[in-house]
Amino acid sequence: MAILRMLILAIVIALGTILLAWWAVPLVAAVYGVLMHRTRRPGLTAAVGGALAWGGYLALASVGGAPVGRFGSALAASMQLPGWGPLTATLVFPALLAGLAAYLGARVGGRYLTAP
Amino acid sequence: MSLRPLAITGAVVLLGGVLYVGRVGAGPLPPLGPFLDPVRGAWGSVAYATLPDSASASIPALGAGVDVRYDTRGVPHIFASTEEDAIRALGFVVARDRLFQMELQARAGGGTLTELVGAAAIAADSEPRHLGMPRGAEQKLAALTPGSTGRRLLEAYAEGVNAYIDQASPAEWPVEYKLLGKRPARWSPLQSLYLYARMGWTLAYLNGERDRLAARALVGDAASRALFPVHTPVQEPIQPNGGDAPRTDPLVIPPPGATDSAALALLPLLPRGARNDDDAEVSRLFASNNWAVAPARSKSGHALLAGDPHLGLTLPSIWYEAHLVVPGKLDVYGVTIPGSPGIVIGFTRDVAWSLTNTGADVLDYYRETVDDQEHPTRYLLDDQWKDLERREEVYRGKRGEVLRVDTVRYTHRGPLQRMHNEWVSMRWTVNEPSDLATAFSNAAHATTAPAFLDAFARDYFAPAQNTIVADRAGNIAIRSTGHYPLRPAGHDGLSILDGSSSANDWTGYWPVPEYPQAVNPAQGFLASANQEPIDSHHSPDYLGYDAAFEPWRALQINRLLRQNPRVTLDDMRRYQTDPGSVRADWFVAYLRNAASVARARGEGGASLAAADSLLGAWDRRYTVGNNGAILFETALGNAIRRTWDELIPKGDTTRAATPSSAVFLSLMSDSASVWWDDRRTTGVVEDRDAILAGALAAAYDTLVARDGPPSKGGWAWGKVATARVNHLLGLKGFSATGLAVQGGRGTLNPSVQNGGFGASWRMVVELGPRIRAMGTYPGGQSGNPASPRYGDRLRFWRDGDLELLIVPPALDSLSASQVSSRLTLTRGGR
Repeated sequence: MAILRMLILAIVIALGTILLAWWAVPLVAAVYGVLMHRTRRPGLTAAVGGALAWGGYLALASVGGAPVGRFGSALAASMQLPGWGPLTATLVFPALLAGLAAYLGARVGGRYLTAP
Repeated sequence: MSLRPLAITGAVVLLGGVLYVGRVGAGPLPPLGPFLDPVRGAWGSVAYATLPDSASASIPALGAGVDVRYDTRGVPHIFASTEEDAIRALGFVVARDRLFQMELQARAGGGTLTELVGAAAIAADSEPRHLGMPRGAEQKLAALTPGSTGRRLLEAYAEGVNAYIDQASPAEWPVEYKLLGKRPARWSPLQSLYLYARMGWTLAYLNGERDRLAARALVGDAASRALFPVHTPVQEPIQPNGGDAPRTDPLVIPPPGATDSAALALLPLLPRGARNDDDAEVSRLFASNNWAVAPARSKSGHALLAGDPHLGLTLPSIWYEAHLVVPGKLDVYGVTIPGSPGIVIGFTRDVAWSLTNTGADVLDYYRETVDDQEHPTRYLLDDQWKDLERREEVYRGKRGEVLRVDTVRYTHRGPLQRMHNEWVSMRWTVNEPSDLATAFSNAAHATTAPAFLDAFARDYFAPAQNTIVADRAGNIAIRSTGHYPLRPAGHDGLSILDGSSSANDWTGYWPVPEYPQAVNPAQGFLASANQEPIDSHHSPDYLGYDAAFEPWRALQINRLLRQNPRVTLDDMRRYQTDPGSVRADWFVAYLRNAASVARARGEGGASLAAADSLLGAWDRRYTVGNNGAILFETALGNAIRRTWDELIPKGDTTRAATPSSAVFLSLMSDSASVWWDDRRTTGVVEDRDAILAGALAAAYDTLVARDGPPSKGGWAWGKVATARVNHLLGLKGFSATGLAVQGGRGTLNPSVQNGGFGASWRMVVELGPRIRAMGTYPGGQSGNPASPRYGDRLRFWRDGDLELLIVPPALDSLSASQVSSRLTLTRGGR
């Protein structure tokens, strides 16, 4: 069930990114946190979901023929980063955003939505 | 105490931090949110790595629909019903492939790079502003009347570029914008003129005054005039002089004279050019080849033309290939510079043309008398005070903030700069009102070579170009086209003039019939490679000076063409990367002779013997596998450094100026000249052979120490003199380096400036009933580093290969297999 929630969240985050922008990640994750504050470790689920959303988007692009790996290496060299730098950053950044936003959302949900 | 409040606080702070870095960035990092966004950020480049099979877009002012077909080489063939629509479409497709490059290059000419990259670019922006380039561009635009051809072309092009910018999603923006945290700026006709100004700066900002003056300060007037002569001592001019071999004119170089204090005082008044301490010879920032063969000397019986302009090599390339067709009116194929509304070098069904830089002296300096040394408001002219024009130059940062404000003052001649303690103004043809867009457009409508040259000369101004043309009727012609100042009698353009007298002003420009030119010469071919355009024995007029010209490549082209009475298109291709060198042929003989003399004198050890043996075995060709080229280059560099030691100012380690290699060759004829003596060696007076033998032995020792013995393969030319094609921003991952290419200094494929300079476009054309053309450039059509077309032509360029160009006369003459993508442009949008 937790995995299913994570996958659904990843899809929603990916859709949010496609339709809106990068800031959809914390937005969606915060809502998730509020709604799922009773679940176990919503922040962790959201963090993985965030990474999965952006990483999955790139993986799908790569499967479709987009030169993700080659471009990532060139981008890394241009930014004086190790070859894995850009891709790692692309996973860690949404993970941090989503994880923290979901954690805080869950705190808010727990504070205001829990029946006395 | 519960840890929960602490955790929440920590999470809030951390999230705030991540959001901040995501929105604003940190240090050198761009805003990470939009940058890492897999849809719109840097990764967006991979989604747009290839053009879609089919796409449509709109351009507001389009007159009628335009069909664009990209061929299998990524070249857009634009089929439009009017020339303006074709130019609108050109603006659109160039922006689609090269948007960032367009903006960067235009900003470099307009001095607004700081708005793109920040305060680090202030120095780069300051130079064009203080040279008057943005003002010159604005004046050129103002001089174009509404409705004039030039104005219409510039506006049509801007409409096409802006239509693309308006319709492109952030995901489609070039990755460089995302790295810089910027978005594309809208295009205006002025941007194209900034680009032209930048080309003028690259090709015509020549400062021969300083070289000769610096030499005069050190060795006196007579010697400096000989070391930096007006005419090149090695003559094989662009306008054929009737000779069947190059001519070397005797050049007597007087002994070094006394230090000239007057010259020393004047020297700070001239801007100091960039000096490359490692370069023994004058390091050219431009060089190009073009030549044409008449039907009588071509195997096919048709005229042939070759052109390869040499410039700094960049990715994306400075050129973009395109084909514009307006049925019944225009059918032109070639390369454009992104930002320029038309084809710059190329061919039609009737004519083909290419350009090399003339190197004319079109810049003069004037010492001005001003009313106030600190804050001048007026300058003296013919005993009357004239008001200076003042222009505020505001440098803005990436967010529009003001970084710096300068005031640039202008006399009637041009910008006024404070140099040392004086005020110096300059007049420069690059800043004069002109209409280059019309010049290129008119020329593309010509149907014969002479008509082409005449159409081009009407509006073309600067930088002056040796324009070679061949036509389908079999004519070949060349003309050094541009505006050349008529100077007052007695002034050769190599001295600073007194600005207080209008008698020192230019009196006009050369009439076109006096330009260096030739049509259908008896020799059956024409060639230019930045050599002196007209034989010094035939024209006494001052066009430029020796250091701005270079004879070697022209000598090699002429040699190849003379040897071949039945030239083919493939010969033309091969010649463009021919590894032979007249320069090496001539200088190696002196080096080997010096080794013999040293042996006879009982001097020279094992190193000299080994070096001499290697040079003897060298075929004097700059092929990638040979060991001789690096030995020769190192030895000649050593010899030049040891010989011109008189030109090193006291307390300095580099020469103030370096005479040309043609002057160095002239010195060879006087083996006992006092110039040979290296004053830094005490107790010994060297002659030519001692210097050359010492330079050769030292070169051998240096190379053994650096690269090991020659037998180990470390001396291979392809290892030690590789080419590099750097990204426009110098980003390593988007650059191509270490390319082993055939050619070196003085060959037709020069590899100088540490390999960052060379042939930027190669084209050969046969003008038969049906045009046959081949070409390539070091890069690819796309400016997107993720695209397979970003650098797909590098291998052709490196290996000296060319690709057959597809030149469909009509939309339906392109087969499906020749089309890689379609674009339909319609009228509409905002």
